[in-house]
Amino acid sequence: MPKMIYDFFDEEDPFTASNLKQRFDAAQDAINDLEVASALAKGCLNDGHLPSFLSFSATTEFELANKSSSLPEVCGYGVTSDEGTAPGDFINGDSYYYNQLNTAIGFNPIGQQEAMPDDGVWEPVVESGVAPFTPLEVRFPPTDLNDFVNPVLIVLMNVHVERVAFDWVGQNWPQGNAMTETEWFMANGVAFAIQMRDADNLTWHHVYDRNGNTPAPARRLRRTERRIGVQTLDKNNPPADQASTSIVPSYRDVAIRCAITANDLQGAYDSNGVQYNIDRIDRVRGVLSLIACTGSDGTATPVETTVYCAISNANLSVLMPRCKMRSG
Amino acid sequence: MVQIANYVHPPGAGTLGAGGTPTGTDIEDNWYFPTAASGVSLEVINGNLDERNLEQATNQTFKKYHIQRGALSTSGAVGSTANLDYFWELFASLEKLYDVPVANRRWLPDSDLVQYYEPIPGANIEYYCPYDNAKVLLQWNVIWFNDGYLEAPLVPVPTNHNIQANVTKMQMFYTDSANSTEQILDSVGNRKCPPGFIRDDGTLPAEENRFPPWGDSCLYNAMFCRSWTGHKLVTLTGAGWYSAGLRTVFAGNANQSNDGSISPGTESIYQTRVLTRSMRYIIFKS
Repeated sequence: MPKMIYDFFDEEDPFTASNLKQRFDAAQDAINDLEVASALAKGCLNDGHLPSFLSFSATTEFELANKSSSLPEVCGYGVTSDEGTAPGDFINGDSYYYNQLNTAIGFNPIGQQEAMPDDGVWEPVVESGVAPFTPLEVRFPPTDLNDFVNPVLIVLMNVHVERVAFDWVGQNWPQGNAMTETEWFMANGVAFAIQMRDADNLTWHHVYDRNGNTPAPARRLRRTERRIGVQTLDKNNPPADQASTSIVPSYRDVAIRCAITANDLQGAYDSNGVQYNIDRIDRVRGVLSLIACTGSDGTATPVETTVYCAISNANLSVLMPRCKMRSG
Repeated sequence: MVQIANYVHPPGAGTLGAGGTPTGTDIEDNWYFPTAASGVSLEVINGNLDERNLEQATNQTFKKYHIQRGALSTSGAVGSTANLDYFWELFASLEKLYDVPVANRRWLPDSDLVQYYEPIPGANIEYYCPYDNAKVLLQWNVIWFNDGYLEAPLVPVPTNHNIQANVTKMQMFYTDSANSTEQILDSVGNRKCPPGFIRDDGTLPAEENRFPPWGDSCLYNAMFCRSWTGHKLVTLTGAGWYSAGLRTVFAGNANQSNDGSISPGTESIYQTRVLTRSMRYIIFKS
């Protein structure tokens, strides 16, 4: 960096064009050719010099996230489990999560989801109202998280679960050696997660924990998943249909905080459980999956269940900071 | 700002050219001529240098210590762990959180409820935003429960919406304009806590309405504590003071006789206890 050399005018020096130009040029050259190491002092850059720490930030929110009713207390989503032995045969519902019926050994409610691709169907959280329903989704320019400038996406989601209810299809409360009441409650419920969209192929993907189990097909853990169990505890008066409500309210907050990095893009999976590399993402959304577990009447005869839920007060925020990932 | 593209009065031209007659003003302008759009004087050194003033030939990197503390973001937090008890007298003029008639209940609209909220110390904060344009990420935690009793369902179930009585509501409020004293009610920032007891006044719900895991004799249900980890991303307009926080409300509506005994009204919460709570903010310059 050139030093600013300024020759002071001596007493007899004339204010000629060349004398003035020499001094103005010296100042201009110095200011236009700064060198960080020598010219910039500690703390010299203030908010006037710097762009925002966030290259992108946005939020989406709505009060009622219930597909079929504007009333938060009414369970709008409903799905019925599959009584068949083959998980993945969705006979009646929007989505369901797993179906753990083992006919070889009778009912076996181990409370574990099936491996991909039979690990259930997820659908976006949407706003109540007239179709098309607004999804709980944030859109941003296609971003490669390997980019030095934007290596991470910070995602925050909150959802209020008003009710989660369930019912048996054409059956009374299972008796005998069937699941205990507590086991029923442990099995059925609703799960929430964050998904990211491949900007080039327009496909949605979960954010998986790369340390999850890895048999084939992979039983990977969704790092962003949170789950609420059913709250209908009145065994004699389960809700009769999707318009009814459970007696016991849920009123539970689901809070997901997540940092999506380049590793998550490389560690994505497709719907068949095959590893899938994403180059760029352009959307993040909140999704849910109702967990309807097939039960038993005590004689290993499968009994379908239907799960309902009502949610409200959903908000999703995305922050994209300019930063550098610390390695190791 | 920008690199000095040229001076207001370019040296070597005009009055500063050969044979010209520069005035004192011409010289002064070149020293100090602030403009919003371009750099035309040495005034740019007053905090208006940017990346275009850097030497172009070398690969130069900034260090964290070059950035002034607080230039990009600022943050703060409050919190408390001491229990806070809110008693029914605080809300005694509020009869219900739902409207009448009892059948087909609906929650009271915010406009009818906002006057009753009580702030929660430890979950309210005031903060200063030094930037003209900024976004703030508010995050909070709170745990609370109430000692109301669980109400049996209204029948027929499909007809009634079965909004649960004896609920304590938590509500987030915030400001988004500088130095405003009027907080906005966050339309998606509220949560409810259901009652924590089955009635123990000799009129327990019928057996078929007592639900496991409470059982027949268990009157207190620990499951009915609620926690809320909330967030809100707010755009701030102008430098100045802002505030955000949580408030709570429940229907008092108990009846106190002359001898001081209390009997429940339509809704019966005597006490709501707020446990740990906090409110945090991170401001990002836009």
